[in-house]
Amino acid sequence: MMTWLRWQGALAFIAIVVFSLVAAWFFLDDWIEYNIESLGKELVGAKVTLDDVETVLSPLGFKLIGLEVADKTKPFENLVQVDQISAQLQGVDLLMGQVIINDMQLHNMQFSTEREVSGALSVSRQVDIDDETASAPKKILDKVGITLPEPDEILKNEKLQSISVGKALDAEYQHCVAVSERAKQSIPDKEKLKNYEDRLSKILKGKITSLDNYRQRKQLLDSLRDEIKASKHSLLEAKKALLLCRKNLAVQVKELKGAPESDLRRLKEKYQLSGGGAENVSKMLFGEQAQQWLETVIVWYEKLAPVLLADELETEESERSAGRVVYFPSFTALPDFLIRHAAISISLPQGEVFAELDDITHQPEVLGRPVSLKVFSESLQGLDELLIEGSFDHVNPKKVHESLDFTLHGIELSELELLSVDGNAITLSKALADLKATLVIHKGELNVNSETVFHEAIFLGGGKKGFSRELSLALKGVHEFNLNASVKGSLRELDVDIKSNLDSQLAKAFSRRLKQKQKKLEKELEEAINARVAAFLQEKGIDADQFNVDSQDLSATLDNNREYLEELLNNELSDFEAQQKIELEKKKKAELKRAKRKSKEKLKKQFKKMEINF
Amino acid sequence: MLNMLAKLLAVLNSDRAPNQVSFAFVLAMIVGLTPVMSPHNLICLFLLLVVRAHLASFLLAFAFFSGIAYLLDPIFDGLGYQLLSASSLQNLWNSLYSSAVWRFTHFNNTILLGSLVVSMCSALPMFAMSQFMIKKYRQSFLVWVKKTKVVQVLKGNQLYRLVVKATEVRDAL
Repeated sequence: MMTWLRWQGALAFIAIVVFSLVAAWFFLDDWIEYNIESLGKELVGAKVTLDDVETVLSPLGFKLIGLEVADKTKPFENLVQVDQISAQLQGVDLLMGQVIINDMQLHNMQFSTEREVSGALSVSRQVDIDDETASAPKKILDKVGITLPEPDEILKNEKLQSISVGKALDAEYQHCVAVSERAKQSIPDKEKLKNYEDRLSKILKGKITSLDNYRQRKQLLDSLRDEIKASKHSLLEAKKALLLCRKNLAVQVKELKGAPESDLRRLKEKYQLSGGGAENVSKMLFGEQAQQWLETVIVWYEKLAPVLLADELETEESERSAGRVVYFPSFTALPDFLIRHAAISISLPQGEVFAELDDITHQPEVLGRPVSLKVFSESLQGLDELLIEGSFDHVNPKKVHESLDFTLHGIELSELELLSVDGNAITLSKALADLKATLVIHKGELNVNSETVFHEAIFLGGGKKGFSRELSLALKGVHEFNLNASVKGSLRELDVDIKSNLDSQLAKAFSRRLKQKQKKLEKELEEAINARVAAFLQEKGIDADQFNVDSQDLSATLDNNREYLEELLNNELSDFEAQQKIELEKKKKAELKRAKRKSKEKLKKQFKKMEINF
Repeated sequence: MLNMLAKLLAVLNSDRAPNQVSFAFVLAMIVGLTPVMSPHNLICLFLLLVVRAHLASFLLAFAFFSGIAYLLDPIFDGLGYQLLSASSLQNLWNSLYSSAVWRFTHFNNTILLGSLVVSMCSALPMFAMSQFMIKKYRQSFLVWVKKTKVVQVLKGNQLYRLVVKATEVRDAL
C-alpha cells in the first residue's frame, strides 16, 4: 500500500489549493474590474470604467465604486454614472458557476455627466430620422397656407368650373343657332303659298264636265296635298328641334348661373383657414417636439436594451470549446446570471427618482419570469408625480413582448419652443400637463399611445403678419387642450400621428379672425368669376335671352304656317255623281219653276178671259 | 520538453512498476480530454499527488491529450448533448440537477459530460494498454531504441545521467 501512496502528496495538494484560493482572492478585485470594463465596453460601444472594486466574504458580495459608462455619441459625456453599486451574492450558486444576486443597490445614479477623458471607442452610429416625419411641419405649413392670395392670383391658378360650363353652353348655343336657321328655311315663302293657293283654286273651281275631268282634278289635288303635307311635316320637325334646343339651352344656362357659386364655394374652402385646413396644426406645433422625445426614448432603449435584455439566443450557438449548458426542469432552476432585485436611486437635476428592477437575467426562459421595472418619484421639481411600470418579457424568444406604462401628473412646462415661422417662434410659455402613455414593443414593432391634458396654458410669440400672427392670436385664447399621440412601426420607420382638440379650437379662432378678410375675398372672387363668365359669353356672342325670344317668334311663325297649310289641306274636290245629282235637282227645280210660271200665266190669261166675259 | 522526455525515458528504461506510468497516463487522459477547470479535475489532481503516479509522464500525456481534445470537442459536444437529451436518462439528470453537489460538477455541460464519459470509458483500456506497451517496450523495443542516435544523444546528456543517478538513489532509499 505504501508503495502506491505518498502522503506528502496530500500536503502538496492542500498547498496548491490554498495557494490558488489565496491568489484568486488576491486578484479577484482586479479580475472583476477587468471583466466589467471589458464586457461593458463590448455592450455599450464606449469606455466603461470603475474606480475600485471591493469584495466581501461575509455576507458574500461586492461593491463597485465609481462606475462610469461613456456615451458613444458624446465622448466627453457619461451615459450613466453611479457612485456605488453594492450586491449580495449567493455563495452556493457561485460554486455552480451561477452569479445570483439577491439584492443590488445602486446609489446616486446620474445621467449625462461630464467626462474628463474621452470615452469614445469608435465612430458612433446616428439615428436615422424619418424624412417624412421630420419635415411634417413644413408640409403642413404648405397645406394650411400662410397668407390669403389675391383673387386674380387664385383665378390664374385655378381651373374654373364656370368656364368649362360656359364652353359647353357655347357648343349648345351654336347648335341651337344652326337648328334655328334650319327652322327658318323650312318655312314656305309667300310665292310658294300663292302657288299652293292658285293651284288649289284651279283644281277646285270650274264645272266638272265628266268623270275623267274629275279624276284628273283629283290626281292634281292629291299631288298638291302631298306637297303641302311635306311642308307641314318639315315645319313640325323644325319646331320640335327648336323646342328641344331651347330646353337644353335653358338647362345649360341654369348650370352656368350656378357654376360661379360653386366655384366660389370651392375656392372659399381652399383658400381659407377653415376647420378642414387647420386640422393638423397640433401636429405642426407639437410634432417636432414629440419626434425629439420619441428619439430620446428610442436612443435610451437601444442603449439599455443590450445591457438589460441581452438575448440568450446569441449565446445558445454551439461553442466547441465551452460546450452547451442543458437546463432541466427544477424548482431551483436558475440562470447563469440573475439579479433578483435591484434598487436604484437616480439623481436628476430635477430631484431624486427611485427605480426598482426585478429578475434581470440574460436567460429569462430559464427563470420563466420577465424583467419588471418600476420607476417612481414624488419629489421632482416641475413634476408632481412620476410612475413608470414596465415588463420586458423574453421568456419565449418567439413571443418577445415589452411594455411600459407612463403616468406623469402635474408636469410644469415652461418656455417650450413649438414652432418658428419666418424666424418668429411660438412658445408654450407656461402650462401644466398630465400624461398617460403606453409603450409596447412586440416582434420589433413599436406601438405608443399617449394622452396628455394641458391646463393653464399660455402661448407667447409669433410674427406680426401672415399665418404666424393669425396663429399666435388664435393660440392666445387657448388655455386648455388635450393631445393624443400615437406612434406605430419599426424602430427605424415610425409613423407618428398626433390628434388634439386644439385643432378645432384653433379652427374656430381662425374662422373668427379671418371672417372679415374672407368675406372681402369671397366678394372679390365672386365679382371676378362673374366678370370672367360675362366676358366669355360676350366673346362667344352668346345671348341666350335673345335666342329665347327669337325662338318663340319663330315657333309662332311655324305654327301660323302650319295652320294655314292645314286649311289648304281641308279643301276637298266634290264627287262627280253628287255633282250630277245637284245639277239634276237644279234642272228639276228650274223646270218646275218654268211649269209654275206657265201655269200662272195660263191662269192669268183665263182670268182675263173671264173678266172680259163678265 | 527535452527534460521531461528524458525523465520519461529514464522511467521507461528503469525497472520501476509500469502501473505508476500507466496510471499517470489515465489521469492525464481524463484531465486532458475534459475542460481543465472542471471540479472533477480537483479529484484527479489529488490522486495524481497522493497516488504514486509518474508526474513527468502525466505532464507529457496531458499535453498530448489536450491537443487531441481540441480536435475531439465536436464529438464530445454531440455525445454530451445526446446523453443529456436522451429521454431514458431524463429522470437521472433531473434528480442530479436538483442536487447542489451534482450541479457543482457542471455535468449538464455537453463537452464536459461527453469528454468525461469518453475518458472514463477509456480509462481501464488505456491502463491495460499502457501496461502492455511498457512491458513490450522493455522487452523488445528498448534494445533497438538504445541503439538509436537520439537515445545516444540523450544518454550523453549530463541531465539524463543525473536523473538516472537520482532515481537509483531514491530507489535505494
